Amino acid sequence: MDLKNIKNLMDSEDTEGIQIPSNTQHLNKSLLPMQKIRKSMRGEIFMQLLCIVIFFTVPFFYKMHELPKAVYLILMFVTCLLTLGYLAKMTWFLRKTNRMDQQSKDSIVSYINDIHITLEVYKTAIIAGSLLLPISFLAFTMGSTKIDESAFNSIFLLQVSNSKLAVFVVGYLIIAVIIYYGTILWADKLYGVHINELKKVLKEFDE
Amino acid sequence: MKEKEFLAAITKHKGILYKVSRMYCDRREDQEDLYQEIILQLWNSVESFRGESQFSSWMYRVALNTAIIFFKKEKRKPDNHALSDRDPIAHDDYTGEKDDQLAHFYKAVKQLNKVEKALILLFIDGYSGKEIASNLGLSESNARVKLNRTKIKLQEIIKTQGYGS
Repeated sequence: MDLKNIKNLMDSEDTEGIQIPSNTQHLNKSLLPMQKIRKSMRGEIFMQLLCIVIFFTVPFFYKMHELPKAVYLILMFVTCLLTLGYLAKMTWFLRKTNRMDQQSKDSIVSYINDIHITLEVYKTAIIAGSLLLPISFLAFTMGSTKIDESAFNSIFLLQVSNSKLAVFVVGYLIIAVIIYYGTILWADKLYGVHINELKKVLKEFDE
Repeated sequence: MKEKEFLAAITKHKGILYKVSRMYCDRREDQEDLYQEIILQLWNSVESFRGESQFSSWMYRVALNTAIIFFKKEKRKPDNHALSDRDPIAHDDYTGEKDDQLAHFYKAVKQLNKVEKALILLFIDGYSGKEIASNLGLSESNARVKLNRTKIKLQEIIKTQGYGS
């Protein structure tokens, strides 16, 4: 088969079926794995920022003893700093990856590398931040003015029996393991599928 | 580039959209999704077009990059297997004798991977080895080797299809 002749035949094909939209608002949503990752990240950035606002606002509507409130706010502050750290990394990623006119292979390699770095920051920060959450939650619930402040103090000053302390430690470790694997699974479900698609394409470049 | 200018420019070169989407997808719905996606990516990247190269070359590059990483809609997957076996020669578009060659070509191309499709399309459109390498991000020698290998592979597929025998 003569490929030069194929060019002529391709050039002479009827392109009337191609409908160019009258304006860019009519374009469909993107199906590209990169765009799906970007969309998930945008949604996540919005949700995390909303959570930060809620976490900081709640103690002002919910009566708490002074010490548990301070503990809660300090831990939340640290959690928020970690969250803002990876949100900044995600925003950097979103800004960096909006062009499709680079060299094909280089753009895929660079995209996969960037998403890996961003996801590592994301996982580390989520895990670190989430590990503080059970303590913040404990401070929040036990710090209520409906509960005697001594109950909070005895736990946080470790003035409890060894068996009770062991239960707390084991409980916390179980929660930590669940948070760790939950985060890994969540990140893989949300982003991993699309990264694997890109890796398959990259493999075709190297075959 | 303003929206109107942009739309006029892609209308002028809509043959590129047709070629790329036809090369990468068999089903009309998938072709439509792909060329819509290409237009969207062109629009997203248009700020980076500074007029240093021809609009058509830039458009070609974005179109191919989009097609290479484009995956068909998940919800159509159950039908894909059956439809991918559909003979494009029986496609409504290819009824005339003069289209027989093109129909066999598209049928053979289905068996190439995404990068091989890009290599063949760029070659058919007259891009040099250097330009193909530059577009795809390969070294010039690697692009030549891959292109030769793909051409042989394509001819073998066409032969197996029984075309020209």
